[in-house]
Amino acid sequence: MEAQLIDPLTPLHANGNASRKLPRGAMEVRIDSYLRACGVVEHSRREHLLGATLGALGVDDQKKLLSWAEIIAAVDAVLARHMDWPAGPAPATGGRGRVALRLGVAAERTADWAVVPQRSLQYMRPQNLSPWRPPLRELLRLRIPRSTQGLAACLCWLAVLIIP
Amino acid sequence: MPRQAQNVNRLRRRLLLLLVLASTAGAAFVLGTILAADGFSVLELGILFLFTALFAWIDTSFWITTFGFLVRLFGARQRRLDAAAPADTGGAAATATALVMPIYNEDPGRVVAGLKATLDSLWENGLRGRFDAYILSDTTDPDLWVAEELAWSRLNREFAGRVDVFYRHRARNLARKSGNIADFCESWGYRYDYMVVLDADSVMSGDCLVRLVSRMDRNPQVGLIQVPPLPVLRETLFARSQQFASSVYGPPFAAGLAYWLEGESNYWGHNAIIRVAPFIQHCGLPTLPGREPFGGEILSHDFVEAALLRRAGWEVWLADDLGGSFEEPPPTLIDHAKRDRRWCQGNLQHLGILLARGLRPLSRLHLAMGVMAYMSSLLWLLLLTLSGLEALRQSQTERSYFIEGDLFPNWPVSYAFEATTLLAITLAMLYLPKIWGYLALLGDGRRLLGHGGAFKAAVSVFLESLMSILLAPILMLFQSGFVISILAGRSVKWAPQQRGDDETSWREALAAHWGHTCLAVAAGLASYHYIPNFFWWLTPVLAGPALSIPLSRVSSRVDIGRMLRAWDLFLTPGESDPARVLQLLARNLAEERRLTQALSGPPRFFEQAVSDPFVNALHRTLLEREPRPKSERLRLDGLIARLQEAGPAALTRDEKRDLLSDSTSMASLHALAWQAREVL
Repeated sequence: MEAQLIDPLTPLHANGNASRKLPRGAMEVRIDSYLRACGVVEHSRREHLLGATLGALGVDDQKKLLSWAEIIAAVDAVLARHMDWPAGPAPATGGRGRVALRLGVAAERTADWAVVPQRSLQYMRPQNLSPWRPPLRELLRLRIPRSTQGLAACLCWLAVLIIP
Repeated sequence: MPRQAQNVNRLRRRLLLLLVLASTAGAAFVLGTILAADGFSVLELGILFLFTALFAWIDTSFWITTFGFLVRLFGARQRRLDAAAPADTGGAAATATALVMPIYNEDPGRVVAGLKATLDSLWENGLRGRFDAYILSDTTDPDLWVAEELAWSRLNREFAGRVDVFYRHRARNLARKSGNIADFCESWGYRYDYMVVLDADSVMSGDCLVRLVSRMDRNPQVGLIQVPPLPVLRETLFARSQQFASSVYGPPFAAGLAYWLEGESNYWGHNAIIRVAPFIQHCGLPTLPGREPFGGEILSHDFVEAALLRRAGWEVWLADDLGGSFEEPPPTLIDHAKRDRRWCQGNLQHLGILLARGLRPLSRLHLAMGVMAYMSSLLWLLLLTLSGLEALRQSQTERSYFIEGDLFPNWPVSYAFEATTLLAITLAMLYLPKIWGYLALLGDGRRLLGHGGAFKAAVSVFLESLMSILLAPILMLFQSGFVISILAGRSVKWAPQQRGDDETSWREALAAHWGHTCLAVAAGLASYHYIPNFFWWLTPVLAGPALSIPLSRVSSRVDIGRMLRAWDLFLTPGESDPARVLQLLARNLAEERRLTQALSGPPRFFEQAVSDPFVNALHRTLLEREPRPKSERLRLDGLIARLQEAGPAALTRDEKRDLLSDSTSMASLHALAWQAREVL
């Protein structure tokens, strides 16, 4: 079952197995495989990020078991620090660093990348589409001119005479 | 609008009204004379009423196209919008425009290919002013949602530093497409002067967009300019005949509409530029009172929004002269009918808005014409039924020419000449607009060449007319059924339009058309048996529905469409000499196809969003944080547990979507996926 959760389209599994053959501690292997999956192909860069992540985790004993949630959070925090976001503190939460790694987005664009502009609260007021009805008062006041009445009567007579 | 221009417009419309009334009255008088020979029966009165209503309908279309043809022929019209903007391409615009593309469960590859072509064309044309693009997703399919994000991320990276492309997914699809646009306006409308609304299959050239902005800049009284979209790109026989018809007959009709309506035109829902501020102020749509299909959310929002803009005093124009505006037609007859089902309900809903307070008379006319577009089918069906019953009554009436006590025989009076004349006039009303379209083509060498030359275009016109004779009665039956089912209270679900070239199978054709075939065969047999003379008159109407199953199947075939294209039949400039933006679209679509083919199997994007670090991070970055109540959190945790135990197949589409909507759940799932991998 769990295998279905792993993306079958990316070669993570093979990489993971390969990592296990390296003479490394379990934690290193785990972080290394995750960084590979994040798209850190370059060996030296991966080594650098790996060291930083281990440091961020504060793990001396590399065989100590940490949860994957902790590892991923640490990787995200390290990536955020290394992305060198231009202004303000780097967004440590979320996985923007992972996105930037894969896309190769320039650092200056990464800070606000994918962020839709600030929303305003400009409400579109529903318009009144209720049907027009003549006010009762106007209906009661309605006067049909005598000439119109005469014309209508003539037309009625014509209709009676012609249609049969 | 200047007073002089107003007077000219009023005069034009009065002329149109006079022409329509006079020709309709003439035709009604001739038919009345024929029917009144022996006095009117109730059936005959019904026939006269229906004929008059239908004649007025085709008559209006005829006069609009006729004047459109003359306007194009003489090129005499001075457009006020152009008069205000003498150098369309000259001025640098300082305004900000948003290209907004609302989408709902569409193919992300197609969406991105179209938007990319539009942006590329805009860039090549030389960007003036600020243009941003927004993909406004209402998608409910979890795999398509993630696929949209991936497709958008490619597009965003490609246009980095040139055009900002944003993606927004709405968790709750309130008020469908109009709600989607309203959400954009309420959130980001303040940033823009104009917005150009695009459909998922819309493509617009950069030149067209820049000129639209320029016209809006120089005409501050204009609230909306609609550019008629030309259907392109489909390859089935049905779609190619539709593309040809639109390409040849469309321009005179659009020119006629623009001539008659000027600043009181209409909005068709996409491929239009809108001034954002008045739109926000005046176009908030209410929920109609009552239950669906007539109450509830307004489905065909475009006509109503145009009417609301007009009510507030803003002008609405049709830019028939711009070009560079494209869309894709439905590929098959059945897809066309499915789209009609949605539009039919939306247009009939306008019956409740027709008398809304303060609307301009022409806005009411637009709404009424939208209703009539579908009601006319039912009226035609009723006319045929009443005519059949009247013919039956006539055939069973015994005539006595010698009346006792009368010296002179009572010979029947022949009205053959009047009847033939009336038939000829009706046919002329129907087919002259096609001839105007062809003649307009002959007057423009480049367009003529784009349609395969004089001879092949003439053959195509003939074939298209033949096809429309066969298909029109089928569509009439479809639409009559839709009107009846809507009047009976059945509502339509929101479904995306079919945009690929998928052919209709025999099974689908049988399921869709067996009723039409049975009805046509039964009507044919009954009329042949009881009123053989009437049967022969009915054959042109019965032939289409009787053959509807094979017709639907054959007309959906791509190979026949391609074969006719190889013979330069139904050829359009979109195929023979495509605009630059269409070339860009073709290139982008080929690239998207290549990317899809590179995948080893069917993509499982939901699973990728769970396990792949990049896809997971991308998705979470795009999610808008939403606090969840404790009960909801518990439910989501339950879904995660079920996913762990039984895999993605154990979750429904809605449950996957709920998980995707929650950033915390997606973070947990991502960690769990890596945990599971380690266990392996």
